[in-house]
Amino acid sequence: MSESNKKISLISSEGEAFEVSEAVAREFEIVAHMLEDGCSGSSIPITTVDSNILGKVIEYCTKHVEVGNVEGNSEKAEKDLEEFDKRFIAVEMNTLFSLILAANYLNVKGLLNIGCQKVADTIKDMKPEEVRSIFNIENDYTPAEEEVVRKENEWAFQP
Amino acid sequence: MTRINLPEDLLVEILSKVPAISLARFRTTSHFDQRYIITSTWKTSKIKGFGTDQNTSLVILLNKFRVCLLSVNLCGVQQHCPSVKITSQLRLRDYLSSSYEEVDIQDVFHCEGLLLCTTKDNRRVVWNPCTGKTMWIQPRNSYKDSNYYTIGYDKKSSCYKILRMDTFHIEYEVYDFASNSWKIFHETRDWSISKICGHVSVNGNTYWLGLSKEDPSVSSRGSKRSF
Repeated sequence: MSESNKKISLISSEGEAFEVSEAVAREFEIVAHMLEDGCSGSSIPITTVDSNILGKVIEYCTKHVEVGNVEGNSEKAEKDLEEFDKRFIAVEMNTLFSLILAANYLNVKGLLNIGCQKVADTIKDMKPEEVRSIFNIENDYTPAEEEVVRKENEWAFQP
Repeated sequence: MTRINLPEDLLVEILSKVPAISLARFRTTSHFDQRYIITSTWKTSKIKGFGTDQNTSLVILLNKFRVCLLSVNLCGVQQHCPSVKITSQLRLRDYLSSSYEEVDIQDVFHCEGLLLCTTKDNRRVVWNPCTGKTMWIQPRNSYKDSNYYTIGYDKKSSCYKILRMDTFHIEYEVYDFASNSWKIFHETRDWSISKICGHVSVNGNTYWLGLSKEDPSVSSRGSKRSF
């Protein structure tokens, strides 16, 4: 079997196998490194990512590999890919966080970047208390401390 | 639904993509956000979101020794209803003094959201109002009344620079944020800067009224001149 047709099984945390081409598997930098380090096995366990999220990450990587393989008409392809990315990350916040965690672990840089950008765009107009709730951040200011910091940044709260 | 917790490095990655005006608001979220935002680098803390929308410009104005943001909307000029209003006053605190008192500002220059301020007690500070970060700039010898300053971004060396010019001497000094030091240049010139007319900073350029026979206006652009 030629290298480009080689199939690799990625095993989710539930033990479900996802068969992908080596090119798609190599989009996961962590897998690419394993392959380069001589890991010759055809199934690779991805123990920290569940089937639902692993399926989505594979969908993302497959699309990006497909577009990367098409020659010519690059402007249209780039636009299509942008549209795909936009649709792909239009998910609720917990799924988005799971995708970011998976992209970070598997080292899929493009996905990590659009995922973080999506969260940044979502929170940019939020109030501090909403941001606290999104990230599970505890307010560790005393009311007096919070008032001082708030006063210093009063201008940023005004419309 | 239980919210998934993201590790600190991913939170930092996300916050680095948020416009700086939002970061200023988020400083009240927790000590972590405050710490991250204050220690973020100059480059990432540039004010990406200083203009509130496409039609509105924010003008930086000095009023009674305080920096104010003036919101200008010229979109309604056609309908004779443009608007100009002071939206807020920025507070610069002197953390070098024991009382953390507010600093009186005599003059201000801006470049991509960074403000170079001359204080009433003749010191120079570079201030990012979004992050609250300040950097007090020490003079090579001493600051003189006959000096002019401006701040710019040098794309070639990817760092901010401060230009100091003297009214009377043909001498320039450039402060480089990469090396945190001043460098002196000598250059012949056949113009001087008008002390009366002040200056305007727009899009990283500072304009003064120059007194010259050939060209009455002189512009200085930190990134373009060969300092």
